Amino acid sequence: MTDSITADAPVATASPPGPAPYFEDFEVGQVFSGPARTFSAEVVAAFAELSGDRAALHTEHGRTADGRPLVHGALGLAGFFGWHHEQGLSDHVEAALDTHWDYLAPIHVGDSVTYEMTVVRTRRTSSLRNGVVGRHVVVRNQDGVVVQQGRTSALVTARSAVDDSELRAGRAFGTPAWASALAGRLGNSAAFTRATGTWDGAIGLRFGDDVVQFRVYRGRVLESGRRTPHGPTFVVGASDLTWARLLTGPANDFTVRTMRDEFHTDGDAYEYLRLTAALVALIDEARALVDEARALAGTEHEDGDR
Amino acid sequence: MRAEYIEVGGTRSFVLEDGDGPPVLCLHTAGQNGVQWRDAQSELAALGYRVVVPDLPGHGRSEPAAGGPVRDLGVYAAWCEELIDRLGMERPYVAGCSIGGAITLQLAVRCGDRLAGAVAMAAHGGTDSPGLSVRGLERELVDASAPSRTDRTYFGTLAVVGSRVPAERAELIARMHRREDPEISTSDLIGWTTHDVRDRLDTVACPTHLVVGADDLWLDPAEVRRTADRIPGARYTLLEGIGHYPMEELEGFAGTLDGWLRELAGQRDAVTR
Repeated sequence: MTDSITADAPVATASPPGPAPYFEDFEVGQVFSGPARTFSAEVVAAFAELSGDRAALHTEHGRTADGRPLVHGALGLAGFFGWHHEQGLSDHVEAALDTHWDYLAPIHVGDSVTYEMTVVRTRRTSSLRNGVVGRHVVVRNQDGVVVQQGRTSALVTARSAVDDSELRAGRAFGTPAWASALAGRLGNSAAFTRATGTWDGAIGLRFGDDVVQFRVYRGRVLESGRRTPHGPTFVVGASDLTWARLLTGPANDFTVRTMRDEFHTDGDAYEYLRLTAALVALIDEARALVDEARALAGTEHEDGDR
Repeated sequence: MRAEYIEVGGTRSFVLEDGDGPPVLCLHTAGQNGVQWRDAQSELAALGYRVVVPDLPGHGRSEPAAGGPVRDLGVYAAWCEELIDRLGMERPYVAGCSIGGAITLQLAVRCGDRLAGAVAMAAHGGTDSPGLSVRGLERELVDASAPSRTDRTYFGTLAVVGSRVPAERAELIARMHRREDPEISTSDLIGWTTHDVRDRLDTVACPTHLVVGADDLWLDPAEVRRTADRIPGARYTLLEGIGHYPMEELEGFAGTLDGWLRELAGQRDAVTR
């Protein structure tokens, strides 16, 4: 997975919002980056004092050939929140909700890192006055090596407390509202109905931990949602990041991503393979739904290569 | 162009020739056939070469290999050596892609002293992490367990054609690749997975050039470079925006190949002088 992230050049798929963004300003697929941050010996020493982690590894010598001390992994993470604030993105953040972080390679004292943040999920809360923004973060050192990566979500104030879920369904990947909108399109897709014309089963798609299903019978989608009576025939799943890049990026590169092992399949592998063309068509329709949502929202987008 | 069926390795084999001059043997990829060289062949012939494009046993218009589908690229290499003799190709160049590139390396190892030079594209000398497994491929050989085979070939081909290739061209390549015989291609891929000449690369006695596309998901360019590093004096080229099929993807490929062959000729002169 790390390799694929290194190889995956960042693609700006939506215009980042201006400073002090509200919940509504974040859209799945937006990519943010900014200037490098250098971890000097003074900063690392200060972090050792603050955290109490004065281990020799961080204060005296590391275990590499040149003996440079290691930057605290948590400082690399803390640096993300500092970067986020300096980018003007934190003004309407009410709380951080969770963080899942991988320390993939050492950061040494004196190294400079850059943060790249991709919005992978936006869900308005039931109170309507705020929403959860899921972000995937890649941290690279001065040589371009991915040293840390993770996911973290924040509660962000909404500009206005309105129910715009229908308007935002096209990018609400993995939600029942999204599945319902997609099911409508699949019924009108010649490629999908032909590829499933002799099929009887349910396709499951997994986004992180969330699964949605499409109950298909002879080319028709009978039902979509979290559950179907017999469960899915198979489930195709990937991280929110992979889905965001696939569905909002410049091309339908599903096959490329399966070859890079970004997708995992559970259930009946034969039926999964049998539906190869159907899945490509499904993703075409999900990408078209994103375009439709953009038009609905009246947002302006520059990427003309679709 | 001259087309003929000749007996090679016990197989009635189809060979298409064009042009006169230094002979060049061009080898196709797994499951495919000489049609992959259709543009390059006539253009290269026009540049002054005798361009020989066979269909390997079991592929295209050639009859099946005598011993059944081939799972060992060494068998193809022996077949190529016999073909070179049968056609009286004096000091030929060999250019191949994918399994054709691997067969090119096998030939360079077997009989490099007979070759003017070798251009191995989209291939390495062997790897510890082949990506495919013989077990998985053997399962794939059972037709009943290989659903949507041609769709997977089609989308799989599109996935490994480079980003520089116009969409229409990529579509043509992928549609034509659907023509394979699954039993033959899968057996070829078993040969690809088990291909390993790493311990003999230092003995290669002809000028050699390894070429890999930066968008080729089947290969790690570092692995190809390692192969080049093990062959005395070998060159290495990374093609940006190109994938697994340079001779089909690269516009004006014949001119590029001509340049590479001239370099190999220069290298040989420098060695023999």
